[in-house]
Amino acid sequence: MNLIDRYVREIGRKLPQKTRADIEKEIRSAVEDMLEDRSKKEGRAVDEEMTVAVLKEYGNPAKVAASYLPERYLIGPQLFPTFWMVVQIVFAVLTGLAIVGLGLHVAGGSGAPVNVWGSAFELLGQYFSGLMAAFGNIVLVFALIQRFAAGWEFTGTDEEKDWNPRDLPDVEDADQVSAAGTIAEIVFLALGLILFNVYPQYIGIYGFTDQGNFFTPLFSQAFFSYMPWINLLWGLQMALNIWLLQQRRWQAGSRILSIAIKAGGIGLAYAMLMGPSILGLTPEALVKEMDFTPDAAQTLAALIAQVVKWALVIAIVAGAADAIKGVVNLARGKSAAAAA
Amino acid sequence: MTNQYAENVALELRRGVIVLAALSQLGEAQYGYSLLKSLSELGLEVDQGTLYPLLRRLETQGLLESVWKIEEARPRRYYVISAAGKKLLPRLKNEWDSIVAVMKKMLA
Repeated sequence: MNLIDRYVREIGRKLPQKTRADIEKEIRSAVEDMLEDRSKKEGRAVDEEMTVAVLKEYGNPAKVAASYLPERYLIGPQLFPTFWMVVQIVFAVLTGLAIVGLGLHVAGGSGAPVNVWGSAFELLGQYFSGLMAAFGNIVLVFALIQRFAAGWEFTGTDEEKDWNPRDLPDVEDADQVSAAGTIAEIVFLALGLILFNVYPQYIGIYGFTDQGNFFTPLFSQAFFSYMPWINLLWGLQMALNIWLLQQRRWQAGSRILSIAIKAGGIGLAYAMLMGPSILGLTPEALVKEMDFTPDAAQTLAALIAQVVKWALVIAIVAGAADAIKGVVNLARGKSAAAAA
Repeated sequence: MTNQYAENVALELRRGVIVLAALSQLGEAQYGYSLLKSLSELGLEVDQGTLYPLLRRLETQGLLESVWKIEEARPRRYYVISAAGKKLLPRLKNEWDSIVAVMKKMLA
């Protein structure tokens, strides 16, 4: 097979079936025209050396084939922002779940610390393989959308037509304080302080049956031993909210106080998680007071204990996230002030 | 680096005018290589890797028509401007004139 045949076939291999034969014919014709021209100019017959020179001039087969093809993407520029947003959301959710799972595992782990941390590393491995699998699946879905719905206008031509600068959202101001949210928080904190300090005997589970009304307290004595700390943190949070309501903007001082309260909250939740059970609800109480069968009482008590455990872990994670956000905003505010 | 950049910018500038150049020269049917040569003789050097795919695209867009002819015992594809291309050409010429006028003012 001569050089031109090999060259044309190499280009054709990289072209779609539909247009391959036509483009191959065109390239062959163009190469032969070039050779004829070169032969006339140089006054000698076409030989292998001349053919090599012409083919080199015509270009690398991959490059020539690419010039006939539209730009191809696994995930195109129009789809990419949506793809990236989905990746970030899924990764954030997986990371949150992994942190909660790890927290629960370490908090609830029994046996030698080596075993607890050893299996924690196993969880970490599962987390990374989970991330990879999720990423692969997202890429696959978006690649399929790209392949089969490439004609879609993801930004939407209609949207473009109706686009109005006045409809753009406000620039996010991280320092602005929402009055409504702050007032609502003050009200809930006040209600919480009154309920836990003045009427703790009413916090529990109520049952109304034919044999009469029953009540069993939800929290244990161990929980109420934390009350001074709860009061301190809630009191400080209320004071901070009243201060914010006056200032209407976050400042370095209020941010530092907020971070300190969050850190205190994390410490308190951790102490509750690691210390004696804060639940006053026991299977015995459920059997005695609420007429449960022992099995059902065991199951319900275990379920509620799990819920409380999860709630504490989530409180720790959310508190840590808030504290980190606070530190970032504090640093940003300071660097902005330094720049000004 | 600077030379490479200058070359790339010059290439981009030229690429913009190839459509107009090709349409203007295809009032009479020509095959790809003869068009390449005539553009070159007029002073516009175009790479075949740019010109041939461009001619196909213009044909797909309905601005050119093509036909295969057997000449000297081998086939050649002849391109010629279509009715739609003839309609578009004066508008492109006007656009070109105004670009040249504006740029002359700017670069004076």
